[in-house]
Amino acid sequence: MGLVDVQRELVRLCFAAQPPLPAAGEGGLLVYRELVRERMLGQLRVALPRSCALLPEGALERAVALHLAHEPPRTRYFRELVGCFVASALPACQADASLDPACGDLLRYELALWELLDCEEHPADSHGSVREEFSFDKRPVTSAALRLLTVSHSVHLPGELQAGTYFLCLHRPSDAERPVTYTLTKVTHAFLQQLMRGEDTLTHTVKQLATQSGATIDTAYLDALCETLAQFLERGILLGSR
Amino acid sequence: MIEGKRSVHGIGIGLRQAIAEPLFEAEQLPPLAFVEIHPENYVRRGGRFRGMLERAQARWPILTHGLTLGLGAVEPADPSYVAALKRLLTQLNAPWHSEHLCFSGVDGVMTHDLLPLPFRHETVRVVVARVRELQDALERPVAIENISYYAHPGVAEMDEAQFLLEVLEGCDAKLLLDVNNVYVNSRNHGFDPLKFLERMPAERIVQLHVAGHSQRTVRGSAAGARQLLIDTHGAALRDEVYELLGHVLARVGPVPVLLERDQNFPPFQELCAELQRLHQLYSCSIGASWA
Repeated sequence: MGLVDVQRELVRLCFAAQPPLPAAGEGGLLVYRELVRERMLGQLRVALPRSCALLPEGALERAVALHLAHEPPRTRYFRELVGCFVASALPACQADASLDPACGDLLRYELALWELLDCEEHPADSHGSVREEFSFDKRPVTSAALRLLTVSHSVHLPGELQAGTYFLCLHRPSDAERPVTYTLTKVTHAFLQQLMRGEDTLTHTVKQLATQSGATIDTAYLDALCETLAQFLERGILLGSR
Repeated sequence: MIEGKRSVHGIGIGLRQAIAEPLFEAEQLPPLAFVEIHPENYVRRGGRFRGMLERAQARWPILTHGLTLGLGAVEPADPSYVAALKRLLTQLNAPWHSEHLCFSGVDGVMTHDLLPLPFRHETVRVVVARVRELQDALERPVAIENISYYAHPGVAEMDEAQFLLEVLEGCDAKLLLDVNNVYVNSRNHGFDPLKFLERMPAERIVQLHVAGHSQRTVRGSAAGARQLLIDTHGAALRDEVYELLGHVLARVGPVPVLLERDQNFPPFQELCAELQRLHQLYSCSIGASWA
């Protein structure tokens, strides 16, 4: 076998559902299969503690084995394995009637918290523009340390998980180590979602949202809008315009 | 000798989140000559990690040690990551950058482990090419670290020491000698660690690593269960490793020596006691031969 074949065999030994038994004298290679799994399980238990605790015994190990066999990691950043696992395990988790129905929401919520812990605060400059002072006539720029979730369980509240629809905004301020979770109204949630997309000017976004929700843009509406924007700016959720 | 070998020397520790606060806040620390980071933990990252790096940089020299550019990879390294790595090394003024003599994946798949390379001439050629590419791209020396390996994949054409020597000579690279890995391999594969260490070229050694290891039973092989030492970085250093380290230091002279601790962290005072013991050993070994 050439070097590339040796490497493919060893990677298969680590990840395949049914790996070939190593030849006599190479039994020690099996330890790598154990090590990659232990490392990943350890990381998931740190990143997703409540979700892992909600799973029946052995379910996490089975889900990881399935994930590694079908979608082995392609990122070099170990921290991103959590997101890869959740993306791969979430559909099966949500479809599995034997699991707690809050499991899927909790996975998404804990993943968002995990990603926000260490993500960069400033948005990647994908639009080739520089951030400027906030203006209604320009497109909004929001913090990159921001996630929006709609969940069907009270994953963000202490105590027992209760069914209910919640519109959540998770944000890590630039001077804080941990993200904060805000509960928004459905309309504010939709508004912030539009701001995060940053595709249209703020004026256009406001008009569009009012049309979609059937609201009239009157003084009360504008007062509420200004108060919301002031809060977004004050908390570093909205950074400016471009 | 490259610039930096003598400018950073003494005992250092891996900067890990679990020990960052006590490390920054402790009123009294054993003499700490440097800290070492894994660049993958800082590239494309903000928040706590960026803050941790800024605080460390203000206080200690920082050495960099990669986890994912396995030097035996059959595919060239991802240029966008190498560019990001280079920016970080420049920012940190890193005198060299170290990676492992292993592979971590193939065909785009990453195992996030240090997998063993076959000790063969074909592998030497591949590693030499990878190291040269990396040195050129980073515009600074690359130091190669010997790994712990738990079995050799396939038939070997040479022993581990010869493999390492051929690679080092082939690409004129520096050596990050992991003393614990030599000990672990000597126990798992039955060779004399002192003889191995004596074969290592002292003039290429820019840094040393030491760590704790653990024992584990590996089942499922055709030959049945067997006991292996595993390089876990999750236990205190064994006396045998201290002894080997003293031997290497007396031969190599002042270099940075890293205590690697990545998991199962003890109370911080225990870690400080370990650093202190290393510092004493360092002073004695260097003092005796290099005063």
